[in-house]
Amino acid sequence: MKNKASVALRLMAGLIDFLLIAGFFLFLVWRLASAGTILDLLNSLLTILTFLFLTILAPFINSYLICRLGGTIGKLLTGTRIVNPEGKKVSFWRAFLRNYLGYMVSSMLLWLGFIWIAIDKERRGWHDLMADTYVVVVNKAGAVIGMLSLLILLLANIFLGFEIFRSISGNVPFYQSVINDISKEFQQSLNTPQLL
Amino acid sequence: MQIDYSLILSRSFEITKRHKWLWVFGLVLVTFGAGGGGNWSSFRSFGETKKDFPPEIPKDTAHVLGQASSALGAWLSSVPPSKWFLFGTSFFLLILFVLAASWILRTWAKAALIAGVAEAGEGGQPTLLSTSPKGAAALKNLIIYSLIVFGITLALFLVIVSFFGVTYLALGGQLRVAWAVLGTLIGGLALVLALVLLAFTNIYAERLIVLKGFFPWQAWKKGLSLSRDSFLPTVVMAIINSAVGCTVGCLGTLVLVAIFAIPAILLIYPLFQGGFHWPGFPTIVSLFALIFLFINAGYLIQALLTVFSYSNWNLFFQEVWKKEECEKQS
Repeated sequence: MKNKASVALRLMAGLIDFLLIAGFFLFLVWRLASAGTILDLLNSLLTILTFLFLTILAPFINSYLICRLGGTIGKLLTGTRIVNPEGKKVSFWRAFLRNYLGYMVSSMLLWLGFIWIAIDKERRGWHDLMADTYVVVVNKAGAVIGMLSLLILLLANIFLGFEIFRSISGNVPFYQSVINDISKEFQQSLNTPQLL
Repeated sequence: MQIDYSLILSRSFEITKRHKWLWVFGLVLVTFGAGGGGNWSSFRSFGETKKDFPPEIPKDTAHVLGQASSALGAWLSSVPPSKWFLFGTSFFLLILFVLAASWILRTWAKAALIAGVAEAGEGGQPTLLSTSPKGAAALKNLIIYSLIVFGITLALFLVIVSFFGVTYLALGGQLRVAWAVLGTLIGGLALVLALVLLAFTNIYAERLIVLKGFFPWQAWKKGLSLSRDSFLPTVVMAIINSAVGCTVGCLGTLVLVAIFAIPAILLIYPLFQGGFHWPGFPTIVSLFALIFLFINAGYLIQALLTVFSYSNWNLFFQEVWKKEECEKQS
């Protein structure tokens, strides 16, 4: 297979995909951290948990993107595509096998399946071998666009992380009041004979 | 039937040592396949935790609860049902998806490992690329087969339990006590024997599906007849397999403990000298790294044992199949 994507380019694409999801969750955590009342806090917690459970849809969305456009958002931005040995787009289920089951296998034993990309001559990880896919470069400008996207996402994530830290620091008295209230209630419930 | 077990073991050792790609399938099976005990224990602990909860809080005590409880109560009633529905559905989907994915992965790895070991036994060079499609090809039939086995096991259990239950209820007086003792013994033994036979049937049937292209029900019937006809040699193979597994597993764990636990103790020991003090960042990182490596090395040993065991069963199956073919021809 010609135009195999380099390890750096694949790492960049993977990082973009990761930072996109991380950024979304950091945004939700920011909302949680800036909650000023116990009701807001619980509402945000419920939203975060719901979205956390819904990450289960991510492999389906990614598989759809791979079968329709040839790659995940990270791959599209870095100008790389996932193809079969004939150089064509892969089917939905093959993409699913690669991106979900394959990633599970690759992440076992110290992520050796991903490290394999650097070892293998064809630049294929275990997930690529499982689904018989290749990652190729289709747009050389993708490296620059990918780098810029990565930088923007990284900055956005750092900003969100900083904001979370600021919100938590500012909300310390509120957290203390909640903890005090809970411990007071706990003490009261222990002293109430009806409960015993 | 004459089976050279030592030859099987030595060939399996060679296959396990030479074909490292097979270890990947072993790893998948260890990670997603050995979940039976874990599930059982987690179910039990869940039950115990539930039991430990205090009974319902009496209404009279509601007035003593403070701001946090009131807020929690107010919040619970303020959240719209659609939000709870979305939360519940997403949680249900997550559980369903994780279970389905691990089941598919386990079945795929099982089929691929059986096919890979067979390829290695015939002098081929199995790789992830060459054996993955074989695993995927047998996936559907193996899933149907596991559903059949589940149904049969459930039916068998219900038949045995209801037979002894009904007889117990029909009898009276001393006979009932005698039946309770005798029934438990005989019923338990019958269940154990049936489960052993079912386990042996699985070993044959799975290989018949993957290597000989049998359909699930056909494979189950043929597997049952093979395990019945070669019951004793299969028991011997199972005992040898378990003995080797236990010995290597125990020795492997001891070696791992020696490699990883001793440095961990050397790291922890200074923390307790002159009274306990919290470890520094490098110590925490080193301890986590040691635990992480210990877990992964343990997985690798179990994966090797899985490949070895599958290889033993594959070679044993080939011997039994050869004998079956010879008998058919004669």
